[in-house]
Amino acid sequence: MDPVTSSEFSNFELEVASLPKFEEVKLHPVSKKYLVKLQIGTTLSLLFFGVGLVVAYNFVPEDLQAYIMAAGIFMCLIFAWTFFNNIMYVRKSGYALREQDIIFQRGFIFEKTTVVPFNRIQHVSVERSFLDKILNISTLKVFTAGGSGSDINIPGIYPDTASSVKEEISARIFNHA
Amino acid sequence: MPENNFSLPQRQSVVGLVLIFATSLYHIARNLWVVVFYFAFREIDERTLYLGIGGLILLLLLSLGYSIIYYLNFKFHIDERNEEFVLQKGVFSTDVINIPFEKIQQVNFRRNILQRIIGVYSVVVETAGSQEKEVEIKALSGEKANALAEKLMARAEEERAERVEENKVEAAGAVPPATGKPRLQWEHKVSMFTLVKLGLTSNYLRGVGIIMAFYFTLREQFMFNEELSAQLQEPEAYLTQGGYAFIIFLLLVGMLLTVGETLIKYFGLHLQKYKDTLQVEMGLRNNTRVNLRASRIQLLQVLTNPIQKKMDLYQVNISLASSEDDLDKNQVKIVGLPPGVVKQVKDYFYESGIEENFRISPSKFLFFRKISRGLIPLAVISVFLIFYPQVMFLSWILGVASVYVVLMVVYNYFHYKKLQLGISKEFLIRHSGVWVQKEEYLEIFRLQAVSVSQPLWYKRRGLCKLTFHSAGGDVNFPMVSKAKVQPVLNYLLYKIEVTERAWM
Repeated sequence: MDPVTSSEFSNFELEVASLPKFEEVKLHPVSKKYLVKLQIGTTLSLLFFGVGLVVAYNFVPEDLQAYIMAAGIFMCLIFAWTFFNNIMYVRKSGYALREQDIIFQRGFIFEKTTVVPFNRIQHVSVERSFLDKILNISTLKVFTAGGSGSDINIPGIYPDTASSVKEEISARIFNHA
Repeated sequence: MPENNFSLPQRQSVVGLVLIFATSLYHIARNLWVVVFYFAFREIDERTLYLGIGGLILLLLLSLGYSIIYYLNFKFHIDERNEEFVLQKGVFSTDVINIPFEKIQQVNFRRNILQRIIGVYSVVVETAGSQEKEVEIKALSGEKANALAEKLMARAEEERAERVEENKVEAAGAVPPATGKPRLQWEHKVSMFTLVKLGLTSNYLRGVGIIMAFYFTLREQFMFNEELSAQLQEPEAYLTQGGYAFIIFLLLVGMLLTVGETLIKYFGLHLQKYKDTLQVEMGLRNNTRVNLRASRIQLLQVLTNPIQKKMDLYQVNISLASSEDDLDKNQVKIVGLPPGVVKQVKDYFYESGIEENFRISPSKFLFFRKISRGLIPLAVISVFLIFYPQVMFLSWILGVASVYVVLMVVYNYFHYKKLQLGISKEFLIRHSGVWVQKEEYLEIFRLQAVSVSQPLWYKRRGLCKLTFHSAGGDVNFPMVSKAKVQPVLNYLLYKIEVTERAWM
């Protein structure tokens, strides 16, 4: 008897219930240092806008200053939200390697999980920006032929891990090619 | 023929020089016509006139010189030893492009009006690499173009066959060069009359859009000349006066334009099926000839609307692997096909046949969401009415609003009902569309990756949105129950991972 398979699958020879389930895989979290990077970026743009507003406040006629204040408050709210969103983004993001594919999940409000089978990967690269070097993290980029939608960029991986994952994936791609 | 061996670097046909020169003249004219216009409307003294003419002659000489050097430096050949196609070009700097045979996706032909007059073909080599998308040799005689295309395609196929089936002893290297024309299996021509019917039953709004765009660019160009722009302002005044007449006029012109556009774009549409390729030729202004091979088709769409269905007019869009994200540009669109031909095309691309085991429907929340979104304009209008109650009669507004609501609900109901994802062992088939009915066929083994998106508010209801990534573009499916599709996704991944077939 079929155990859990839904009746819709009765036409399939394959027992779907026995397939590995990608949704049950435990994900490796993204490094907390990536959060530092995100917050630095947000702080920089906050400073940029903040200075702009302060300058504007001192130069506009008095009757317009109320508008600048309102804009300032609005900006504070947006940035507060961005800081919070950064925290949640890093907390929710993660990746996992299975025998045949790589899974990457990211996003807080819009959570998105992409699964790329190794035999569909075109190439892999590890990138490090200036800030990444200071923080000692890197970004693993996986490219496919499916356009930008199916390429995945995993940020905040320790360089050692990133290069070993890269080697691992390259080896597996090679096996398939 | 020995001279068509392409093993030595060679130039294009000599008439190519005419083409290059004409193209550069065209570019000059396109950039200068506004200036010429400007002078034509002003009084100018003799000195400026002579200076202008002198400058023009100098410009012509310079562009002639440029064209000659460009022609002389443009060389191409097939390098058998390194297994690649080599193209050198450049006037001031030399640019060498090497395309390995295995990277060649397609070799197509293109002809614009000038190329037709002087009797040459453009050979376009499309590659899979991302940096250099396509390489074009603009002027080759028909004979040479055919020979080159055949040779390149044969080489590319050999390379691919070698790579895919290394262990299978296939006499790829020993394939004799194609002798003469391969045998025609079936063909289909789309007549002018069919194209007119097609144009008449298409969406006129596109035509109207073209007029609008034309009008606005014209206006922009003439903005500096106040007299002219004043003249061109007039239609706006006209619009406010006789609104209905103008709209009808606009629709009529839009209809004519749509028919015209269809005729020009698909003029002489001709499908020819040979043993391992489907050749599609079309176009009046820009005549293109594309060879489609079943092994390279990534995604297939079949479109029709109820009127066209009655008249046996189906459209087939074919997506090949491309590095661009813009799906629309890279599709080969074949229109005006009767169902029989559509079936023949499908049978060629999918030899084992397309079947569908069961279908998945989106969640009913999709329907509710569409309706609530459709109500937003009404909400905006009613807010507006609260502030300016004197603008219109309430009864009038209520009448329009209720008609709108009914139409919107009916439309969205059918939209929701028609949207379905069919699944079989080998295929994903997406059905959609209220007026334009669309079926998208995607072979599971050609999938590149699968994405599941779940915004926070979907999570509460256990819903998700699916994206199937293929090399020919993405296929989306909104708002389905996650529990229901999870086994399907796992099955898809399993299928991709166990397949040994090359997706390209």
